[in-house]
Amino acid sequence: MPIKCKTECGRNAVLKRPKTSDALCKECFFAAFEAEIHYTIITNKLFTKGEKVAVAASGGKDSTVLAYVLKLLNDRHDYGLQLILLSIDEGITGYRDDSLETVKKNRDDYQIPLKILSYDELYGWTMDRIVGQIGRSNNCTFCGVFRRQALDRGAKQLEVDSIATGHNADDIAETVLMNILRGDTARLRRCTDIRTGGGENTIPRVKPLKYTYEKEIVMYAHFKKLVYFSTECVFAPNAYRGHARAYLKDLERVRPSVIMDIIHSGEQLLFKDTVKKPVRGICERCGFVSSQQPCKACILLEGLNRGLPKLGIGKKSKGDRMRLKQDKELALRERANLVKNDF
Amino acid sequence: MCSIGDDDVLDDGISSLMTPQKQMLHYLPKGTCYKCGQDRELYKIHFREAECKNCFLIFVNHKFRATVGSSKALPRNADILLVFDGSAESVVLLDMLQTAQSESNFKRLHCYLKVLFLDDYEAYKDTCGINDYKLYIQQVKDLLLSYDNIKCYVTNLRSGIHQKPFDIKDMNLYLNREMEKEKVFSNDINNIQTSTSRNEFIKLYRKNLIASMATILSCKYAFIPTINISIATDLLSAIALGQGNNVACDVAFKDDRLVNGIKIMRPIKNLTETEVLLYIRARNIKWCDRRDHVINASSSIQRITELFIRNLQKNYSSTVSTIICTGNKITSNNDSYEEFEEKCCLCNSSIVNSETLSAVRYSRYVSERMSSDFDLDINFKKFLNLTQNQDQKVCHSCQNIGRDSDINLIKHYL
Repeated sequence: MPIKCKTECGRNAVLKRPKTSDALCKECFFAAFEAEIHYTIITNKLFTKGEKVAVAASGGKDSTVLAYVLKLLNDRHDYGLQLILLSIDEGITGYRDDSLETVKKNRDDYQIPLKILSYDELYGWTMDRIVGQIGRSNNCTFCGVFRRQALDRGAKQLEVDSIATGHNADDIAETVLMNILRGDTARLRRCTDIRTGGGENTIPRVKPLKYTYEKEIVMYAHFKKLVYFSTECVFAPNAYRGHARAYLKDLERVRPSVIMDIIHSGEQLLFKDTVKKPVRGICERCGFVSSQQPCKACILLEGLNRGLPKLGIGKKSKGDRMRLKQDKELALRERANLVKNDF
Repeated sequence: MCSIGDDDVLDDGISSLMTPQKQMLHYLPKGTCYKCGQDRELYKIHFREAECKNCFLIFVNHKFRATVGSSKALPRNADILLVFDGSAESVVLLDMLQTAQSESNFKRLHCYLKVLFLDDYEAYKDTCGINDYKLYIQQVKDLLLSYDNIKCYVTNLRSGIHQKPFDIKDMNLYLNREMEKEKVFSNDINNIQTSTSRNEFIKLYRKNLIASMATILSCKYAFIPTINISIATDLLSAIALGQGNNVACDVAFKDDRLVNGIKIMRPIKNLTETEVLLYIRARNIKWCDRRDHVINASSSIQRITELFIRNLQKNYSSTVSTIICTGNKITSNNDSYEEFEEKCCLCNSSIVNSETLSAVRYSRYVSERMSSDFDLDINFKKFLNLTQNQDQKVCHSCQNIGRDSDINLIKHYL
């Protein structure tokens, strides 16, 4: 016998919500899903009327659903937002080129303007070439650092008031676990914040899908027949995050509410006064937000341009030694050339 | 599915633990101690040069004394109740305390020690037969009686909180005690639907029982034999169970959340499993391992977490120490808002609200009614008031136990 929808609307249920274990019909699920995101936006005051908001769009399920729902809620509840899709082309053949096609389709379907920025034009390097230099280990460090800054650069160019990203509840819970495992207290403090940045010279980032389960995002995209790109990146996925992800999935199997419980825990963590807090400043080289001088993106870029791709990986002292050694070798070579020219 | 350490996990998700360490007890290489330079059997632990037995024992005992000393939480001549379960860790802690008390005057740990053997057969009876249990009880009795200058008692996890413990010498009296009430207790535990909640309930009840026994035996401090891997597991499990605001108490040296003022302390929280086993070898002491160390990989959040940490530790050897370091940086908000905050009537932790919990309540709200009834103002506020009244005086984590059982029954025991 078919199970009836929990809301007593009279329709048959088609799914069991992973978040609440309630059986719902398609229509009631859509209504609940959209209402929850609206609730998140309103209660956390993520936007104000008349703002220009960049939606970070990769073409994946999260950003596709985010763009669709933001457009829908903006029209339904009259948020008065001006939405723009902002995509970053990392230059990964067979992955990003295909996913950008999906973003372009979303642009046409949702009638939201799209801006694409590429690593090539911003940094003079594509991820394909970076992987050629660094290999398959640590390549995610380059991609992550550059993408973060590229979004800031794009947002500055577009003069938007905030950037909405598609981080979902699973991503945030996973990050809490990973930061505990890595002992990264600086990130542990801020990873559960629904709004980050937003100080002087920085554009705030907001996470409207913070309380939305990944499974429900997939269900929503599936039932709404949204077009999204679902292939994994062709370069190796971040191994350490993979452990945290597998652990979270195991926990979720035992108790589905564990995702929200972990986020709740992460929000409640208090650190001793003796624990150092990183001071956010502006990179002297590129002028973008950073807690170190120069910023990580500038060090990584310097390493690539010097032919020392590992310059920004690992300890700073190791990087300094590499830089010094290369400078010495260059000076020697220059002196040798001078001697040769004299003859 | 996590693939790390797959070789050690059998098809049915069962993993055998502590095997490599057991082997290590039998084969120790000989060589020169890096500290005293003498040629002897070498004790080698991770991140440390190989050293002889004496140097190793000095190092481990120093670690224990440093943990107790640096906390500055234990006054001179304190009455301490050591919670003993026959495990390697508890035997090591008992031996260390005994050594510390017999040191020269300058180094002596000035305290009065009593031992409570907490028979927790109830918690592991699925993995231990009755004959093994009887053998184990006899071994523990013999072991504790070998310490003739320490008063030792025995109680059961199923015992009522106000029931007096038995003297270890009266073990027969203990084994033939009246068990009707204990059977009811066992039945109630089995009625908790999930093993995650069952483990949480047992953890809370065990803590209250220790506090109560300490009060009966006139001790203000209870030492529990928790080592670093258990602390790391407790920390990550607490995060997964939504206990972020109180996680600091679960990993700190001192846990003072108990209502009757008893302080639970973890004096060997910095010891590793390897150090414990090498200490046992060095001191040539016996321990009574009644559990077969079986982990069912998919049974509960606590079990999954333990298996995850053990597997990750194999590939990333600093996993446990990093988790402990993170835990040491966390503080409890119990201290800062003690006067103003409401305490949970089950675990005595402070009750906090968060945006996430409100979001969860809103999810339940919208899943139960048609979209025409969604309302951020009047209806939701009514719903919120109703649910908050129901949840009153129980923290978020304990509410989860309540979802798997009768909350009033849980309240009755705690």
